[in-house]
Amino acid sequence: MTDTATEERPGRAVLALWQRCFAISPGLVVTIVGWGVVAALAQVLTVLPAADAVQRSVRDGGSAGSLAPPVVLLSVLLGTAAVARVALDAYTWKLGRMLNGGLRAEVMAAVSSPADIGHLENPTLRDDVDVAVGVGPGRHNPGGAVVRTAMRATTGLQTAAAVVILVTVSPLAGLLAGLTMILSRSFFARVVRLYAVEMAEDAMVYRRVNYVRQLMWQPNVSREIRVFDIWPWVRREVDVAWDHVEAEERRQRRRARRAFIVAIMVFAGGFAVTLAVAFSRWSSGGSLSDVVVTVTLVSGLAIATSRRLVDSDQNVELGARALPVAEALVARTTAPEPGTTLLDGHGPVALTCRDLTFSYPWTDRTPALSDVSFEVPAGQRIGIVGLNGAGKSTMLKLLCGFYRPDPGQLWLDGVDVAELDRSAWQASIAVVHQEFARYPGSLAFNVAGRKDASVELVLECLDDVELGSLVETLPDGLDTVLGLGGSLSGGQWQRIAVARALYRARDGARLLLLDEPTAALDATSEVVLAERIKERCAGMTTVMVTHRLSFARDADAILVFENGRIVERGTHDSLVAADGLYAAMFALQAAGWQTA
Amino acid sequence: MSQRAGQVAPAVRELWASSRSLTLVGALAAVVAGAAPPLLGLVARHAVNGGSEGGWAVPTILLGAGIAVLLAATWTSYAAMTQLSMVLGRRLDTAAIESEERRSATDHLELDRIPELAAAVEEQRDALSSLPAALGSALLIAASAGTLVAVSLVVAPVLAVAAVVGLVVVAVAGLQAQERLRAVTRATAQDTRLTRALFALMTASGPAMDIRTSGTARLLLQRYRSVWDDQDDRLHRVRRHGVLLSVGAQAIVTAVFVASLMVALRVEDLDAGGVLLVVLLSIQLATLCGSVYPALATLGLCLTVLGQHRELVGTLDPAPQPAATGPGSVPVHDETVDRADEEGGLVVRDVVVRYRPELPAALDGVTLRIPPGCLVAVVGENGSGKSTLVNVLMGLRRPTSGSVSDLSALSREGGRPRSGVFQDFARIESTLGEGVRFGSPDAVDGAVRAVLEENGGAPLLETFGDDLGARLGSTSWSGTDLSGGQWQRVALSRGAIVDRPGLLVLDEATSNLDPFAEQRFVETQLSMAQRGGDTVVVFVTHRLAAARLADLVVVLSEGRVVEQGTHEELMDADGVYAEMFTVQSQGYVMTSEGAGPV
Repeated sequence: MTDTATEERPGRAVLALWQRCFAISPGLVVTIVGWGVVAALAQVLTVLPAADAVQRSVRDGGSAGSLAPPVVLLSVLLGTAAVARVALDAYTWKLGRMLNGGLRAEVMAAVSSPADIGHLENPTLRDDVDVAVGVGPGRHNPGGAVVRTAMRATTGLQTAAAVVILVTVSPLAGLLAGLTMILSRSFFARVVRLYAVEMAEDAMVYRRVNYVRQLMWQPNVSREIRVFDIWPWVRREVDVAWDHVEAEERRQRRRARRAFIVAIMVFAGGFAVTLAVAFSRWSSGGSLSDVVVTVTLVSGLAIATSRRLVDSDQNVELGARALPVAEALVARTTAPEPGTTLLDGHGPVALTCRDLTFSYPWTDRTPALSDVSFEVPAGQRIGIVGLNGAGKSTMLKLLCGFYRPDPGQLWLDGVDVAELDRSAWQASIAVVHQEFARYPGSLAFNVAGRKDASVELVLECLDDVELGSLVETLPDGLDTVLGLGGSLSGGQWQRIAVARALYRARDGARLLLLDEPTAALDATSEVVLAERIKERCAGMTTVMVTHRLSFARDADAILVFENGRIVERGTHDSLVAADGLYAAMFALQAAGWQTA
Repeated sequence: MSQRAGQVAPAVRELWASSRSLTLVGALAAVVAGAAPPLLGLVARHAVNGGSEGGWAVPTILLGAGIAVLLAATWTSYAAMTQLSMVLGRRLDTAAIESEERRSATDHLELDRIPELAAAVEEQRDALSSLPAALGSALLIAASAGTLVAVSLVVAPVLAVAAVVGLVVVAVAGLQAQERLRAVTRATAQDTRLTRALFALMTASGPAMDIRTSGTARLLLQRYRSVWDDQDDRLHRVRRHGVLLSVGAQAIVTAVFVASLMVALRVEDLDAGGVLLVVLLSIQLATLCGSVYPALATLGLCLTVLGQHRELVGTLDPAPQPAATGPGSVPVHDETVDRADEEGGLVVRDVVVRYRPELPAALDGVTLRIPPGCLVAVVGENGSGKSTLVNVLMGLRRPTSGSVSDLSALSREGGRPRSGVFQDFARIESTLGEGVRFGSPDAVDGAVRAVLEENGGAPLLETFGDDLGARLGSTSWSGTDLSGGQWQRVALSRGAIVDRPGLLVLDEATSNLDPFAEQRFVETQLSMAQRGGDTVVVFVTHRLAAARLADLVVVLSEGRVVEQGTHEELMDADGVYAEMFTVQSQGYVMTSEGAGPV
């Protein structure tokens, strides 16, 4: 469903919302409907004892015995309506939160389950994920829409009940009142929609305001803002962004005003005529209580309508819109994995890459890799070096199965990766990613990535990366929760990322992939840790991307990438002897170390 | 509650200062909208009393007009408050920016309190934007209650008593329920942060790779569900409790209503219209009682967030840190130091920086004299205090004790702009031209292009069709996403375009670059610095190869200067530096025949 379709028929989105709610918890929906009916009817039915009381007080001169029944009934109905509204609020909140939690969990599951990560780089996915959490600057979400539609439905029921009562009192007055409500409702709805849609369209402009404002709280940006004195720019950008927001609001308000004037005229005029009909019946012999009923109901409807006008229906309009977006997102990303072949066997894997050409989805740029061919026999270590943007990391991502290469280009132990069950494959490799994850979980979970991890194994891995002493200083040792707040330094996190790969290596991983595994460490620790990884993972098939050529020096083979192609290959010695790009890079780095 | 009532006055002052006309219009319209329903009741009484004799035409028209006024006033107030929220938003943003601009150092960002406040205000931004509307609703309810009580006093004073009792009982019960809810929300704030963090982690493209290869998706999702559901249960329990509270409150209110209505309706001279009015007023009163506590709760939240915002911008702290001064900038009276100072160099004396009292000092008594035009390499391991020292030299970190020479001359106005390139460079979504011109606002297009090309930005220019007005980044506007490397080119160019800076800081600037790009950048920067003649260049690196080029190498360890001198001097001294150098150079040792393994 497209956005425009939802805009035109907000009713459909709301219906879908409640269908989903019913599927989640039928009991809760029934409870809510029950409370809503009680709240609406109790409120409207007050008019009957009210009219009764007026009638009796005129007829009986207000004797206590005669007045007591309607007065007690009136008060009890008012109290019941009030309690029912509070209960309605409590249960719709519960339902709304269940809906939000479930929907977000579904989005998380859908986005994180495919082996492929191409969809995550699709810019529209980012927007859709954003919308799934909440629309616009107010973060209007489906849960909020549930709370609001329940209230709106209660008001609607109240209106309908009022009209029914009016019809029984005087068919003409009832008809007029019903017509007035139906007519003015669509105009008022238009007023609200204009403002609501405006908010949605402004989300982009608000995003700019929010972005520029938040810049100064980011440590690295705030530093450059001061060093370069960027303040004038920040002030100007915020002003410009606010100008946009205000201009948009003015434009929409002007459009809404016209609809509002029509609505108000229909509403006030219609009810004036309704009242006139009631009064004229009375003066020609009708009952007083009918007039009381009419006046009470009409003033009640007027007050309810005025409150609803400002009770931002954006929550409904925008919150409900998040649901179809989230559902489409889930449907789109949960495509079944095309490959089904499982990799047999154990131990180090052999890699074969033949004429591999690859370009990223969502871009129409030149291929990131062109005609790449190489072989890595099981258990060998190869280094990949090259200039920035040469395609080194892309090669690793393909080996991880994050993208599906064309058939016949990449094999693992003789199995074509295009046919491979890549999720299963991903579970059997050890990787240090450049952008490793900082899990908001325990230290042990951050290393092992599972609950039933062997404590000894985790401690061994932490010792390997020289974090053994950290465990003792942390308040809860291995169970200390990391990831929320900055308790660890960048270097310590990098070591944890390496420990994660070492754990997997000990756990039977069949391939070790390293993408600048020591970039955040100081140079001395870098040397030590690189040596440690080499020791611990001896015998594994290893592919390592590095800028520090000394680390790849003793690899079985070194591949030199340039502009997505392999331009040189060989051992360190043969590459230096060939006197090409590698030799130049190595000489440049080595020159710094030559003691005069 | 009284505490929150005390926050109303500053909030109203903020609105008044944002726009007097909108505040007045919004407030007046709210009062009219609030007063209208009880007054409609008065008109209805008139209509009923005159109606039986056929004199109902005028009252009917009045009722219709009254309904129109009610709706128009409600809408006018709403629209005015919506506009006001935008004016207020701009005003608060400007205030925050100006207060940050006054803080020349960034010490405050390292405290926990400031980032926490900034995050809290940002997360509850919609509460700030609904502040005018919340104040408007409160005013409307107050006007409604006031008019109700006034009209009651005229027709049936006992109803006024019921009104006051009813409002108070319901409001107290409501606030009680709200307070419990707030307590649980506070108690589960950690859960909220955790579920947010998990959602962000699992939907971002960066960690997606690690999540797949470490196979953590299922467990993370389980954790999310259990934390979310647990928080759900706790919140719902409190809400259910609120329903019980409301049952109790309504029982009292119902009893009061019955009693007061019985008294009110038995007044001798009450005519039919009077009875209708009493009944209408009591129905309105009941509705009003229901709206009191949600309105107060919303207003309370808005005021709390405004309070946080005020704390953030420092209006609660009457003396924000004075510009470019501090305990550290007392002029140093020492002859050599004074001379270095006069010549435009930098002097740091006995500087101690302590981030927190319980932590060891990040800098522990550092003294340095850097003459103008000097190229200084600062080396040391992670956590040795390199970045802190650089921040002190740039005036971004005020020393806990000790002194730094006057840095106020190092500004664009002072004629000696600062420049820097940092490992965690800023990615600012500006136009391409602006991103570079941050370094030199007056640079002509040609100069911007030339600098970009020198710093490997040629492909970037090509991507954008040579358009310097092209927008960078796509999170805040419809621009083009850049790769990390591309962002770095912009940051390098910005650092390079500054004309004859007084101080140039290169903080691990090249650690992500390939050897050629690194070499090119270092050469360009150093030649530029030498052209400037008196530019102090501070080069932070843990790759010692680069340190050889420096006039002065400063070796830091645990916040202290353990060695300083030229590369040769330090190698001869055979100390920490020499040892680090040897370890790092292992992989690059060349034999006499050329390159080759040892």
